[in-house]
Amino acid sequence: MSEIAIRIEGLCRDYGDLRALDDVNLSIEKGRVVALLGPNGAGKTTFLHVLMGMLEPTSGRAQVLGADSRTVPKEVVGRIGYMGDGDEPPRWATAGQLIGLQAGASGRPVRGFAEQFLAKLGLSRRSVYGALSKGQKKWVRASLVLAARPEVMLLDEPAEGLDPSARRELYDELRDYVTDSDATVVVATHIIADIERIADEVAIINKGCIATHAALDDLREQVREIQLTENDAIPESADGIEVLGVKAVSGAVLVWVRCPQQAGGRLEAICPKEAAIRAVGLETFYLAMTEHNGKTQNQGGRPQKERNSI
Amino acid sequence: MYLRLEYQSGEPIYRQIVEQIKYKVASGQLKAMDRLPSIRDVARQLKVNPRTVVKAYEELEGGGLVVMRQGQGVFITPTQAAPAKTRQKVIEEMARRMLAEASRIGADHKEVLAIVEETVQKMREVK
Repeated sequence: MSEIAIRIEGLCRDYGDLRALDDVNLSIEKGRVVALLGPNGAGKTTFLHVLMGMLEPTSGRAQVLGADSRTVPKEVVGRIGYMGDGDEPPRWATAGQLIGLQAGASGRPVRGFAEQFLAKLGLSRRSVYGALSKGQKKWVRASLVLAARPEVMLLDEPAEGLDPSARRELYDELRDYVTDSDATVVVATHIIADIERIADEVAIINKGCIATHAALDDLREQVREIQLTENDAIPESADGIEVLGVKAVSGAVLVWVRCPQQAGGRLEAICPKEAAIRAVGLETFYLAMTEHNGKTQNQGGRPQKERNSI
Repeated sequence: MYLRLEYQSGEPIYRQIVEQIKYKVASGQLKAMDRLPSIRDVARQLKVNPRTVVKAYEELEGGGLVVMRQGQGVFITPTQAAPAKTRQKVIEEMARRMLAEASRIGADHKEVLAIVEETVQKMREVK
C-alpha cells in the first residue's frame, strides 16, 4: 500500500441552502494521476478549492500531504501546486515577471524549467500576458505550476483552449513529471479523451457526491455496453453485476454494466444470446454514470457514496 | 520496443503490454536473452504509470516468459520451449475471440471452420 497524498473524509460544503459537496470520501495515493470528472456545477471546483484551503469545509475534513486543509503550514503550501480555471495574473505582467513571482512564492528554483517549457510554444520571458491567446495564457500558467515541481498538483481545466498537439504535450509533460517524481495530480476536466490517455484513476462527481472512484484499468476490464432490442428484458443488477445506466436509442436499448472479474462469464448468462457486448471508453462510462442512471439501484438518481475503493 | 495502446478496447493497459510482448516473442521479434527496456523507459514512452509496467513485467515473469535480474534488467527467458508454446497461446487466444464473436450470432465452430477454409481458398486465388 502506497502512501496517501490526499485524504477526504465526510466532506460537506454548503453555499447557503445549497449543498455543493455532500459527504465526500476519497483517498488518493501518491504517484497517481486522477481525472476528476463531473457535469457543470457538480462540485469539482468547490472540491479543489476546499483542498487548497481556499474554502472551509462545512463539515468533515480534507488532508493534503498530511496537513488539514484549514490550517496548511507554510512548508506544505509550497509543495502543492494549483491552477484555477478563472484567476488570472495581471495583463501587463511578462512571463518572466510571473516566473519571478512564482519563484518567490514557492521558494523553488523555477526559472530554467519554466523558460524551456514556454519555449515549446514559442513563448519567452518577454511575452506579455495580456497579449497572449487563451491557449497561450493557459500554457504560461501551467508552466508556472509545473516549474515549482510540486508534490501535489490540483489543476482545473488546465488544457482548455489549447490546440490538440499542445494538449498532448501538456499532458505528456505531466505524466513524465509524475513518473520521475512520484507526484500526485488531480485534473478536473471536460475533455475526457485527453485525460483518458494518461490518467490512472477517475473520480466522477455528480450533484456533490462521488459517484465513482476507480482505477481506469479496472473500468476497462469491467465496464461493458450491452445492445438489446426493444423487446428484450433489461437485465437487473445481480450477482455482483451492476447496471449503471439504460438508454433507448432508435429501436435498440443500450445498457451499461460493470461486471467485476469474479462475476466473469455471468454477463453472457444474464443477456439474450444475440445481444452484442462491447467495451466502452471513459466518455461512455461517464455519460452512463451522470446522464442515464435513472434506472439503476440508486434511488432518485442520486449516486451512491464512494463504492469503489482501489 | 514499439508498443501501441488502445484506450477503449476493454483491455487493461497492463494486459495490452503483456499481450504485445508475448506477440513479439511468438513472431520472433524478441528472442531468448533479449533485454526488455527498463520500467521507467516503457512508462515514459507509453505515458503510463511505472506501476502499470511493473505489473505487466511481473505477469510475464509469472508466466515464465521473462526473467528479472536484480540490477541487470528484464530478459526474455533463455530456455525457450517458449516461442512455440507462446506462439500457440497467442493463436489460441485469436481463435477463442473469433469463436466467441461467432457464437453471439449463433454460429458454431463447424460453420466457422468451413468459412475459414473457404476464406483461405479465396485468398489463395487472389494471390
